[in-house]
Amino acid sequence: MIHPDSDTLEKFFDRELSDEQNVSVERHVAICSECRDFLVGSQMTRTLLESSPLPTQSESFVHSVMEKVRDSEHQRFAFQIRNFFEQWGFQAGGLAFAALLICLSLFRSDSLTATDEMLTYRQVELEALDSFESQFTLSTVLGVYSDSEDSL
Amino acid sequence: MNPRNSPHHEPDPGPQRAAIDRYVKLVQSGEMNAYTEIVRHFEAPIRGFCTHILNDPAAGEDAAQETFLKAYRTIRSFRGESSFSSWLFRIARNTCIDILRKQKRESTKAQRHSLYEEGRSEGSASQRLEAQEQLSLLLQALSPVHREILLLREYHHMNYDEISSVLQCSIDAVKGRLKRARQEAQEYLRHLHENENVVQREETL
Repeated sequence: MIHPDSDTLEKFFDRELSDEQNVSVERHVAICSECRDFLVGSQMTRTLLESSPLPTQSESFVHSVMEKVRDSEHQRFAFQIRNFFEQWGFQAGGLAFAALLICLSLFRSDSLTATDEMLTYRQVELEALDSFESQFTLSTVLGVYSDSEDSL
Repeated sequence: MNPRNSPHHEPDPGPQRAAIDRYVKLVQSGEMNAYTEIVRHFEAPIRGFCTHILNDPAAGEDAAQETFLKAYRTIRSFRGESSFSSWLFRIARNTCIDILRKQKRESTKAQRHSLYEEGRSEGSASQRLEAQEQLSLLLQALSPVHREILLLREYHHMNYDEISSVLQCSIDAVKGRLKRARQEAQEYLRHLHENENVVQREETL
């Protein structure tokens, strides 16, 4: 008796043969206990596996997964922020420091100019005061002198 | 694919697949809430798959959760070259493999072996096992490679294309592996039933 090869038997079991091939294997299986045993064994395995029910659908499972998904999203966001600071933090810090230095130097130069202006103004004032005082002293001296001449 | 909708776990592509693809696109564009529907749709098959691969409901549930979390994190990389279902099963499979490797390192292998031996040769009344126990023993006895391919084919009713996509191997490799898995399963079940018959005969004497 010529048996169908194991591939053909597998295909027969998986219903992957053409109708013609199917009929041929069916005829053989009807009279061959060896091939029939193979098919019965395969069917037993299939039946046993199919006998196991799928787990019942559980909303708590869905909630639990979604909870973890949300946590994961938060962690990812935090990680992205931390990563950003790690990547750009030094550059940003350096830039901020440089900007601070520039601002300080600008402010300092402004205040120095202002002080210079104030000093110049004060100098003019003092000079004016000096000239006034000297004039006053001269006029006073001259006044005293004329008064003494008059009294003579 | 949603085996729940059919008494024989037949694959159900069609409109559900289109709806899933729509949800996937929404999640990819940042709509996190759309992922709830995806989880709801695939929860039972993925949990069932992980539970059977790991042969432990608690570990299966943890693995399923991990699978959905990994899938969410990498969903932007899903290009639709295979079905979303196959992609998800691939992640579930890899997650289970990682867990099995970890378990192996923690030497649970000895326990697995003893259960297998128990199923094969122990001559007691407890051998008349219910289908669930038989299935549990069968899954324990099979190598992980054979276990996963049998589950994908016989339990989740995937076709060869889908299985090759999940396992990332050729269709010829799928056929060869499936054949060897069936042989291993048949051999184990034959031993189990022989032992059961011996016990029955002993009890009737």
